[in-house]
Amino acid sequence: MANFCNLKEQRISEVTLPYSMDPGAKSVMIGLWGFLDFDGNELHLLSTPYVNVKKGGITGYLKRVRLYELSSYHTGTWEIDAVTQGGSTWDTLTVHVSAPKDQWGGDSSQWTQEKKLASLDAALRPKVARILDILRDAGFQPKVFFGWRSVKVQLQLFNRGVTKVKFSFHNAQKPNGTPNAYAADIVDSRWGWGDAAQANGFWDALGDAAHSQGLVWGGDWTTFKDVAHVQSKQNSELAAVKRESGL
Amino acid sequence: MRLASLLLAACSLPAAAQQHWLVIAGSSHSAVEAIKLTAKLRALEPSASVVMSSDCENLRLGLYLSAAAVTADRAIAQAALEKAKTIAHDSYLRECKARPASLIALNIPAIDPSIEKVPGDAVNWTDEDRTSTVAKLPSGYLWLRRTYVAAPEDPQEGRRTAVLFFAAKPADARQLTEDCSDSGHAQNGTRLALSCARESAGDNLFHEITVYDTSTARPLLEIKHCRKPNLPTPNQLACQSEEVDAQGILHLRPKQLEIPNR
Repeated sequence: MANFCNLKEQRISEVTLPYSMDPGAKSVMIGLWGFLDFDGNELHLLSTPYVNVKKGGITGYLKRVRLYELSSYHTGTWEIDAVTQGGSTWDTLTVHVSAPKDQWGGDSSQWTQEKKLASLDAALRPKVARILDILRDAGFQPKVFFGWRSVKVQLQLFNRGVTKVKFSFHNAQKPNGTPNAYAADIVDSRWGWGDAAQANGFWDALGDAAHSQGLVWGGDWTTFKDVAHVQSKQNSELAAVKRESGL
Repeated sequence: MRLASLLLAACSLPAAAQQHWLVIAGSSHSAVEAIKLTAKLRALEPSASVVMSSDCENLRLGLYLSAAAVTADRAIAQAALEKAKTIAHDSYLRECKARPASLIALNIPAIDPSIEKVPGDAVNWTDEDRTSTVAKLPSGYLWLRRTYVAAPEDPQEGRRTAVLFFAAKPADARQLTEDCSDSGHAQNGTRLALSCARESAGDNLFHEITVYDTSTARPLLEIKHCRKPNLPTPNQLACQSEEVDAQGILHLRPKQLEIPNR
């Protein structure tokens, strides 16, 4: 019979993997003690697609341990079975994959475009993607400057006096803290908020594209303009969104 | 000669603090709590108001006082106290030695009545947004009157800061602008430069500067995307022009303009 083990050949029934996208995350090495069946055929590991399993060398006393390297990008609890060629399960290993460490931390203006889009509410995301397409087709070089940003960062900006709000649609999140922004700031990567953006018609084009997607455009506001800003909620919904965010 | 010296010396002494009697029904570190209690008091005393304790030289700083009455007459205060006790039984009378140029000294309400209508679930209102302030200038005063405007789709949730100028009496105040956040100012003679945040640009604010003739409240010059106004002469405005690049970085550059004589 076989059993999963650590590198000291001690039997284990579960193992915890770091989230592979975390900075410095390493794969975890485990062993399968007694990896051959009664006929001398090697057992194989039956795993969910959420855990990457890479076969390693043979080690241990009497060379009875097959090494495997495990890693995962999928938070949760999964199982790996050691199975004979005939389909019998000889041992099961429970694999816990940790939650990402501060996956959504840092300066969100420096995130990749993909990550910024991923931080938007699911209904807003395709609309913003469409706006970017429309603007590109018109010869602009649009980019999302901000999708989501944390309330913590927002408060830092508020305390520095560079924003007038402590909570905005950029800060919306799911109750578990996952980003769920209802707003995005879009600029042309050549001009930012410089005079050339206005002179070349970028803000007007952004406003038209936002309207075509049924979004609110901050350039329409008369009391306090925010020309790069689009949002999928009405301003009157801010208190409800804050409650929905669990804040 | 000796008399003239005495007169000069007297003129240079700080003005004696005005004395007021406050009928205090409650005090709070929160403007919202003070406003709620003051609204209840108003049913009995229509002149009930919120007073900032920091306006009184002899009181602890940082409290919002719900005052059933503010009066120079102790007898009137005593009568108001009896009424206030029917709402807040531990109401009490306290003397306030008003700081010069404070709201109470100038008889300017700290909290505009419109602020009582701010919705309870407003997200971005702070106590500072609810409280009017006054700034003493080399010549005259700037009154930042903070109010609430019911406008459900307003990105500022109805927050407004009107800026008014008056030479000596608030009753003579002239409104310079109906809304001005993150304000800055400079004065030289009858010229007053006022900067107000007007737009967001990523993590930054864009400002607009208007130069006024304070004798008429007439705007003489407006310039967008400039902050930190200075008036080196009555006919020159210096400020820092603002530009925010595609990385969201703010670039400030000195700018100087002639102010036209209109």
